[in-house]
Amino acid sequence: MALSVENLVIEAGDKLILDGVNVTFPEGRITSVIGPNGAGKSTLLKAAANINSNYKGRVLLDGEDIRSIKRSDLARKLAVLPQGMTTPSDITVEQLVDYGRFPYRSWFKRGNPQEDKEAVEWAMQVTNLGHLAKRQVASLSGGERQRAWIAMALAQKPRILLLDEPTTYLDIAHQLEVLEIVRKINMDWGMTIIMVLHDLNQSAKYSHNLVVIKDKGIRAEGSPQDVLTKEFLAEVFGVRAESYRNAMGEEILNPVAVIK
Amino acid sequence: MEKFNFMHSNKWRISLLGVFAFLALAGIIVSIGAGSVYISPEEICLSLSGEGSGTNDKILMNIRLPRTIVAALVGINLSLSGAILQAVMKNPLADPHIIGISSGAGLAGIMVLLMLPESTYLVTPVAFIGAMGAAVCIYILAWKNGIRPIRIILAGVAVSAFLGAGISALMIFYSDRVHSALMWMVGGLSARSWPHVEMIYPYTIIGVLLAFFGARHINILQLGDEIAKGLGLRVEMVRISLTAVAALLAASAVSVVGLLGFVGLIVPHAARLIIGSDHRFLLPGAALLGVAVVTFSDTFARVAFAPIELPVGILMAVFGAPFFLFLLRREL
Repeated sequence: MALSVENLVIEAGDKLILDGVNVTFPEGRITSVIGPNGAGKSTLLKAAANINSNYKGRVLLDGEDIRSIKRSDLARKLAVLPQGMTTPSDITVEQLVDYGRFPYRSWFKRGNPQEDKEAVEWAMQVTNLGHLAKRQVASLSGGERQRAWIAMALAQKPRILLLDEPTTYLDIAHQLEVLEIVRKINMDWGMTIIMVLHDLNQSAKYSHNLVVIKDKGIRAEGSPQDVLTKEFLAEVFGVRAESYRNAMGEEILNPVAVIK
Repeated sequence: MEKFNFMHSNKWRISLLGVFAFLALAGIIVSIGAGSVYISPEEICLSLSGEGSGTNDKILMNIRLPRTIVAALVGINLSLSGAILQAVMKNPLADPHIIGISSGAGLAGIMVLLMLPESTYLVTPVAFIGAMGAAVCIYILAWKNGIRPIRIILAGVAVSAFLGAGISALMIFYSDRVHSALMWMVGGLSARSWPHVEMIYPYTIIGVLLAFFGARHINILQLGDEIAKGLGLRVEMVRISLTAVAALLAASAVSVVGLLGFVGLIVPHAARLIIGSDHRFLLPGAALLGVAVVTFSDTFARVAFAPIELPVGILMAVFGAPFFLFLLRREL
């Protein structure tokens, strides 16, 4: 199931955010969207997920305009986690994850209880939440809560998962935990992942494909090895970086100074 | 840990609903029984099964029973309306009275009462139009890159003040017919009888069914607009439909008892504190608790200062206004 964006133009008020973006997110791969603050990364993600449908151009899911797909049908194919979720004060992890089954229910029908149960259990197992099923979401740590939201999205059984900065506000251990889960979902189930990330080295380590946004458009696109270079960091982020190889042979970029 | 889990299980919530149902029933029995003439529960049972006789039977069938039924239905309508509005407007202080939806219904209803006194059957439909109009105004005024709770309240206060001025103007123009309208302004159940039951019950049935069907959608809406859209909810459509249901419930209550305030604020909050925010339980809980609160309050207002009968609206305001301030300090 392929997701792509054609001539996307998005304005917020009278300010142009994205101006004619074309990008295809490769199927079954992890794509990270990176770029400076305010470049329009989240804006792109929200349009791609049809959370915001106020744009010019088209978002295509298997060649079909995403705005013409029924919302509940779309939600079975594509799940999205925006930033800054409000967690209801008194629901359990299990209940939250169960909300992911909403697209499979209608006004009158309850859906298939057996399928729902299996999907919820699977989602909690993938995100290592089984032992926390009966806990209140509000009582969880930041990392556990983020995993609970990811589990909710997984319970939708989507083919494509979009995540907007899934690691923000988490400490480093929980960041890695979330990214490992993302990688596992992609490897074991072939789910297409599109995420906005801040940390360049993490984006290099955990994604197959990078999309770089700057100045209202796509600046670069390709594998992390091709995209992330010292020259690139100087040009896009305005920082001078040193590179070295770590013990695992991975190339690490270490930004050391702002270029004045 | 075991107990902690049980407190959040559906079994626990269902048993709480049982307690609420008991309170509602108690309120109904007390409301029928208490007053200048005491009617015992045995007599109530006899009368209800059609075997009653004598003066008490007449008092019960013609005065107490219809008034109690109106009180119960009004309690259901206002509580559900408040519970829905609080969820849909993302605002803990939303209540049909405070944000001006009742005033919209009130202005429209009083127009009919004063200008077309013969057409009382028009009161509820016209009041519904007024309530919807007020709701739309509040949304438009409060809308600026999404809805913020505080803007809803401020817009509601403005709309409410504007509509209140309209009501006052009408009462000056039609000062000869003003008494009926005056009682309406305060919100009371005095002299409510079978015709009033007939005015409200169809709307209660429709509203309750629609509200309960919408419970799962309200739950999703509570996760925030973006998450709700991601889960496939047509957020705008659901929000408009639910607001219409809330307006219908409030308008039909206002048509019958006037501007009875704070029920829609206090009851959903109390229900949420006790039963939690899962609307599949919260909505029925609020409805049952609404029955209990309005029937008990009306009985108290009737009996406490006998022979003077206090409009129940005054009683609700005395308890409701401080509660509103308490919520204001805690939640905004």
